Amino acid sequence: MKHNAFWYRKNHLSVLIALIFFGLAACQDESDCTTDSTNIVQLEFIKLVNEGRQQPADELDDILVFREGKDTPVERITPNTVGVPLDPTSNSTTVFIFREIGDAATFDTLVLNYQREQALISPDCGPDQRFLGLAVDTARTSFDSLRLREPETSQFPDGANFLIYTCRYEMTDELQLRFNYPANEDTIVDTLIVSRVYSDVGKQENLRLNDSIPENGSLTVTVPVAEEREQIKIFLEIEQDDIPFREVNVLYRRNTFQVPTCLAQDQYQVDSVWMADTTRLFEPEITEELLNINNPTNAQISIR
Amino acid sequence: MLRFLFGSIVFSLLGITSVQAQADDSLNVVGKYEPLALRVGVSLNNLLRTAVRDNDTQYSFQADAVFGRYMLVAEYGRAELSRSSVAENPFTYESQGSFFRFGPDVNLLVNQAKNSFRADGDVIFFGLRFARAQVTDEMTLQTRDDTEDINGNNNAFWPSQEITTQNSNRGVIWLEMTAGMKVQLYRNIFLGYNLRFKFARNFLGDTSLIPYEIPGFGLGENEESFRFDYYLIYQIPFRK
Repeated sequence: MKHNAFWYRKNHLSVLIALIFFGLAACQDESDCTTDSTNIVQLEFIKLVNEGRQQPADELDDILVFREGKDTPVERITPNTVGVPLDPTSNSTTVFIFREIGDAATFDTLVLNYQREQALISPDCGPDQRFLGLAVDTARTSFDSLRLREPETSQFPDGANFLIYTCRYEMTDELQLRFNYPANEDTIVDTLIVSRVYSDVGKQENLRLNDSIPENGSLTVTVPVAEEREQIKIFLEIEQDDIPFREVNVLYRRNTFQVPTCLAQDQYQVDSVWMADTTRLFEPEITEELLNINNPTNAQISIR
Repeated sequence: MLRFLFGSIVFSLLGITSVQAQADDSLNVVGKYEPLALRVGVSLNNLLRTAVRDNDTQYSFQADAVFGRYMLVAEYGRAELSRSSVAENPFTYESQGSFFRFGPDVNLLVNQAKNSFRADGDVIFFGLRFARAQVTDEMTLQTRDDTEDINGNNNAFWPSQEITTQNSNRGVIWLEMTAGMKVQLYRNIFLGYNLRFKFARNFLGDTSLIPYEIPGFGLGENEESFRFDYYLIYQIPFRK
């Protein structure tokens, strides 16, 4: 089927006119003034204890955030999150973080660096300024680590921009040994007189001196372990004994423990405990393998 | 919704014309290496905008050399605008810049009456463009601190200050797919439109101020843009 030139002109002109109509409709401005930009950057303080367990928020240290020349601290958004207002006229903001940990206090200087991006949303809505490319200078801080989670501030964030970790390992290099004196038919005295407890570490200093253990009572001895060794001997001198001392052997090992967001720390672990003379001491029991300040006893031994 | 509508129109047009193009594949290609004509056009919507908006000055031109069914197109334009407000969020914004585009068009319309592509007929085309713009702009605004005082007012931590931010000859590049028509009104005078899909917008270098409007592209905050341009075109034929 062939068309003549007139058919084309007429047909094309009508399409052209129709599209002019649609085109004019498309050119109408649609102003959307909503913006989620804000100058508030969120810092979440996370306290890790021992094996990376997060301390409940209400047990966090007291944290106050200030800026230079301003006495009023920044308010908390949640118990462990503060919203730090970035300086909208600069690409860097320095804040001071004051933390109170028990009786001690620390003072950190946090330098937040960022880029600002300005745009005119529309003539009706006015200008907008975004804060993005967040980074931090941790040179003058004592935090264990700081992780950037979201590099742009937002009024409706999914979480904090920075996660700041302060870690407190409760590891120790002191072994807790508990000597029990249970009442039984073999008991010959009401109270054991422990004249001395010492170990073969160092200069064999006294760990306990002139103690006593009543029937059904116990005596806990704190024994420092040595980093360069794997075994320690503890000697127990009992006044009523006919032998010079009773000997307990502890085999332990040291390894490095680290939560990804914290600094590495040494950790000691008890592998086995045994006696040189099995007739005088019962089979020992390991109650807690890890040497930790929260563990009252690592091993207990009953005295016959 | 508008994108869907325009997409439908474009695809309909392309569908109709490609069927026509396929109808006759053994065309008598005239002017394969020598241009048949030069068409020069001026953007009507830019002139209209300049006329009705006091703070806007925009104009753009296009020229295409016709080589048989193909056209080599070059476009150039300039724009100046200023915006300001003294209301709750006061600001001033001024911008000026220019752009150029170039690329090929292909005529999808077969003039079956003449069984050849000719320069003197209507054109339905599809084309590609590489575009580059230069923008110099400046915005003055009042900073805002979202920290509220006990009365709920902002700027409790950092007082509001006036800052000025600017771009100096900031380069912007992008690509375009374009389709449209040119309809002969009278002798060598044509009326035409271009529907443009602009994409892959990139600022050259780091930028702090996002230009409100990039000449030839549209709103600077968008990475893609749809635009219509209407042209009044004069054709200078080189052959009868």
